Amino acid sequence: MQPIKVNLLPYKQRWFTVRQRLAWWLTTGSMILGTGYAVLLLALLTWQVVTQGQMRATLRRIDQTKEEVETLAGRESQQVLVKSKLTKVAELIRQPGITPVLRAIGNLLVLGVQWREIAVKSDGGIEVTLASSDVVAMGETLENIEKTASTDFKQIKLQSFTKGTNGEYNLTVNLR
Amino acid sequence: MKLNLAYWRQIYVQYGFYVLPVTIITAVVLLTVGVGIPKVKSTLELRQELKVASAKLARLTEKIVALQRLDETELSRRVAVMERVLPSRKEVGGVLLGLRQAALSAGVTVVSVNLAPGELATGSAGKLKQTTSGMEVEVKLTGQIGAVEEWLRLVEEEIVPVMRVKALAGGQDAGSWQLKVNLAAEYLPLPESLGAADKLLVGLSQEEEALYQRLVPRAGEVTTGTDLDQVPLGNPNLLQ
Repeated sequence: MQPIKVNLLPYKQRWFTVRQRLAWWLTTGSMILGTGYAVLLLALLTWQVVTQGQMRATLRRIDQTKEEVETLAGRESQQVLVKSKLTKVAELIRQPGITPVLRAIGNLLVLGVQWREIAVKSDGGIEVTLASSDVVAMGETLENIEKTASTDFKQIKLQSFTKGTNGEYNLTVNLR
Repeated sequence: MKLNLAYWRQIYVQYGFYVLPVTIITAVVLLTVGVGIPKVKSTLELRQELKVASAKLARLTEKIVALQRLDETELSRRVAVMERVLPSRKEVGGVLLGLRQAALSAGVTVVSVNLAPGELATGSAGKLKQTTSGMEVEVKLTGQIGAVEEWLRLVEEEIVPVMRVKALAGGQDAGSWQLKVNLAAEYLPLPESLGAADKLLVGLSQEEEALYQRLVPRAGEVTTGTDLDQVPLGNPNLLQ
């Protein structure tokens, strides 16, 4: 039996050509990649240096501006002082004064009844203590106060009604 | 041991073209891990810091412009007015003077005035603590109810420093009213610090400006350049 002869030369030549091409592509590709990467790295370093420069310049400018602000600190202190005091005054004058309350209560009292104490509570309410030896007059006054619930005062709360040892009736109401 | 050169030459011929790509790829990977990534990270952080610093610089510049725009004379006048209206210390003298003026104008008789100011001021006025109720003042007075009402109105709306009526007690006796009035004389200690240097300078709102204009006549004639200039305003070094 004759052995089969296969001519391998064309295959070897083809493989050689493929390998040559592969070598060319790999070499060229890696060189392009290397060059590109080097450019990228250089750009990155430049970016960092530029940013550091900008940062240094900004910090230097901040220091200079702070010095300028410091030289004008007197004006700032005065402006802050005026502003804070005005805010506080605005807050204080927004609170209702005692004079309108006094007038309103004075109008509600009937003959024989006097107010003894008017106190502004910390929650904004007003505590009024009335005194009279005439229980009827006291009742009428209370009725008058209740009638004003929707006008002068939004809320009226009877806190106590007592009779003292001197025979005087004391009525304490909370107004709001 | 003898080196088989023919064998290595054959290996080189067969695989030599891999050397350069593998070297370059290895270098790229190593440089990326060792240099590229840390540099990108640090630069991005630096960019963030730069952004913050730029914003701070913008605020400082804005503040400088606002401060330069302020009229120093007018500002001193405003400080003097506000110092009379709402003192930085417990102004016992000012309170007594104001109460006396109100009594003279309203026509009531002040029987007695009790004050318990407590701590007036320490070495640094800025350290005086603000109380919520102000300085307590107790006034005993007599007069007709109309005059008393006018006195209360003057105390609350006209005189300086600002005072609030906290409580009234008393009654009518022989046609005249005898009252005990508890007042709170308000004050506002100086701020201990102006805050950060880049904190924006807030101007007066329209309402505050209108309020100030209403307070000017109430404060009366004021003289600027008081000892307030020498009062330490908290931290003198704004950079700290």
